[in-house]
Amino acid sequence: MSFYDHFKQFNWDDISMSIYAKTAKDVERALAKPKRDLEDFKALISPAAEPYLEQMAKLSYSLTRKRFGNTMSLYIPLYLSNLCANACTYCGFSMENRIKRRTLNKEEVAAEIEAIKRMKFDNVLLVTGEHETKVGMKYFREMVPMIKQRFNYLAMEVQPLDQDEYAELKSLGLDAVMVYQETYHPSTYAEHHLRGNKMDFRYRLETPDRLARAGIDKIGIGSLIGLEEWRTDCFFAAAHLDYLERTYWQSRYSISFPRLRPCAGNAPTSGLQPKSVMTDKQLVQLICAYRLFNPEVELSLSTRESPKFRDNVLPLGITSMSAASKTQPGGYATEEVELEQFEISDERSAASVEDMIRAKGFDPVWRDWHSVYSG
Amino acid sequence: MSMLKIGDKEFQSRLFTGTGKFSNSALMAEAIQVSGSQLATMALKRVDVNDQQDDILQPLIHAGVNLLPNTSGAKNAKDAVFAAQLAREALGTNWVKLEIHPDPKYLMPDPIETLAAAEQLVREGFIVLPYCHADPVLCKRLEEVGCAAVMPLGAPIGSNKGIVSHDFLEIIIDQANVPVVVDAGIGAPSHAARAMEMGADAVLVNTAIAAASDPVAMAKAFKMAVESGRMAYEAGLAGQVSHAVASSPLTAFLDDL
Amino acid sequence: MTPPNHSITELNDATSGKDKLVIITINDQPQQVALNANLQQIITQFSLPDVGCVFAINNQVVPRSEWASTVLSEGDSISLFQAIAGG
Repeated sequence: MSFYDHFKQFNWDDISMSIYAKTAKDVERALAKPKRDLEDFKALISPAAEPYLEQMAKLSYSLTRKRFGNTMSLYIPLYLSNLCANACTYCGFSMENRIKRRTLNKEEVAAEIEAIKRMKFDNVLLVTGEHETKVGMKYFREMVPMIKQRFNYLAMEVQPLDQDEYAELKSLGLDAVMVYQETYHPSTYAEHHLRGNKMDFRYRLETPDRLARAGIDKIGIGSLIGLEEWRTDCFFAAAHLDYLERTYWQSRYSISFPRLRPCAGNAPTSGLQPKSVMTDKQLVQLICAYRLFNPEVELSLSTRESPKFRDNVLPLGITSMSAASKTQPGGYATEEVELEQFEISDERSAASVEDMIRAKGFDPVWRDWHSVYSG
Repeated sequence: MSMLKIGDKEFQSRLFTGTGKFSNSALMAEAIQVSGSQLATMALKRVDVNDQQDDILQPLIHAGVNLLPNTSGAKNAKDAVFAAQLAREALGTNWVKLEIHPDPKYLMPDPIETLAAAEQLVREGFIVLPYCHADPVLCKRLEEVGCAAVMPLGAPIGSNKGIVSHDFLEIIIDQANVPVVVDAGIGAPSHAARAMEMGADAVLVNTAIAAASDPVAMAKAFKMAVESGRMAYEAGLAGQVSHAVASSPLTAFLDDL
Repeated sequence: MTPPNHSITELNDATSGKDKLVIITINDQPQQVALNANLQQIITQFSLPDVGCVFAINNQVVPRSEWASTVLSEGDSISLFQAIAGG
């Protein structure tokens, strides 16, 4: 049993229709309830909820303070490799793109670590392309312990792995894994994933199940907003979260909202247009809807979004942010810009972001959780 | 209203009843029948051969009520497992209400013995309904070892205090993947209705009915309360408006972007 | 209950050897039964209830199907349980 068995029962078009059929009454009822379910989530992300945005924001603000106080966790992505055996239409690392491929060796990783440590980060997200043979378990076995030695919390965003591989990485110090389904619409998924293991929709979909069974502390999921009709895709992410929390009650979860961003490179990656455009206002609506639906989940905002947007959205439900990100391997130690995975919008330094967070009345948290007992 | 499925049985009535504390077994049988309950608990006791007990089983079986023997008297897992085996043989049912209270004063259930007994009984093929404190983690653990439902208490046995454990029951109901039966402490029909409105799958009531001045009338009142509470839950209760912190507009910045 | 005036051994020596007796307990009360009596016979002998009840010998449940084939030994403890009212 996995989310796949549960997922099969959903009908994309029916879900879409039911979201668009939500009325102001549904929204008001959802707002008034102390506990909200997936039907309420649909109402809150529907067009009918748009006039209620300020009210949603206030509620979301309130709920987030109750659970998280005034803290903001900070993390930084560390790109180890841009080698990739997949061809994904939206990504700068697609194997079809002729870019300089690089996989950091131990010395280079060490240099990145030093640069990152100078910026005060203690929570690192290791990112690679998806190349099973050249950047696979052998590489991870080498790098994970080395990196974990220097940082309190270690997350990974790499190719989906088997359960026993996750269990092994956990014993080497892995705390969290982010794995985005990109889109929950199987045929659209097939249109955007043209070569490589990532073509396997189901294996990717079942990754959070494997992660939870391997005992990984935190599991991050989400859709790449814009590949499909965004409301329906985000509903599926919420349904996925709901299933995971019910089934694996000892794990914790994180939601991200990456919006499709321009990335350079050869066609089709350059000039890829989102199928449905999500406005800034709608992203705020989505963030609030997630918070109203689930007061306890981590909501994470990356540097894909602009400084002004991030600064203002910060108090409304976000609990985790990256800063000063470089989305290319070796980006921290070196200055030359090779091809990035995606364009960064917020290029402020970690120190600037920290100042901003304080100015807004929040306490930047570099070290989230000290695992004294469980190693 | 929807049927309740536990283990291999389906129930129309979400009111479970206890058979204890009634003046006599005829009154007990009448009250249970009027209540519409389809599941009744009973205990097992060593018979004094010279003192014949009222037969409580025949009237219940005759009324189509399913039997749920309990393990009360057991102070530890070993006793409880033995009690369950006895009950299975005596009554011909593999359903058992697991209850272990080493504390004779407050009758608080022992979580550690209960979990151990539950695990073993599930292995031996019993349909286990464990009575426990309203501890959300304990309920998840009991579910994981294979219990067919969980029975967290509303308040101490016989106290009639109502849903004292409300906030924890909410969590349990939210997290459970098996039916949640609120057992113990329900003293009035309004308590039962409240439990059902919260989303409990069923309630178990004994003292409130048996010790009422008119148990038969009280049984009927509980029947109505459980039905109305469940109907309200299924109809979708409108919540109270939570007051958010009033502050300057949070989303005005979007106009400038 | 008062113990017999003669010991079981004396009684047994005094009998023809066909009806040897052993002492067992039923719900903690000592009783005399024939040697090699089975549970079914003992139930009949003492007019014990046999519906809605269960017997355990030395804390081991004896299924109904085995009543006729379960033979008692000296010192065995039979417990008889019946359903009673309870919450």
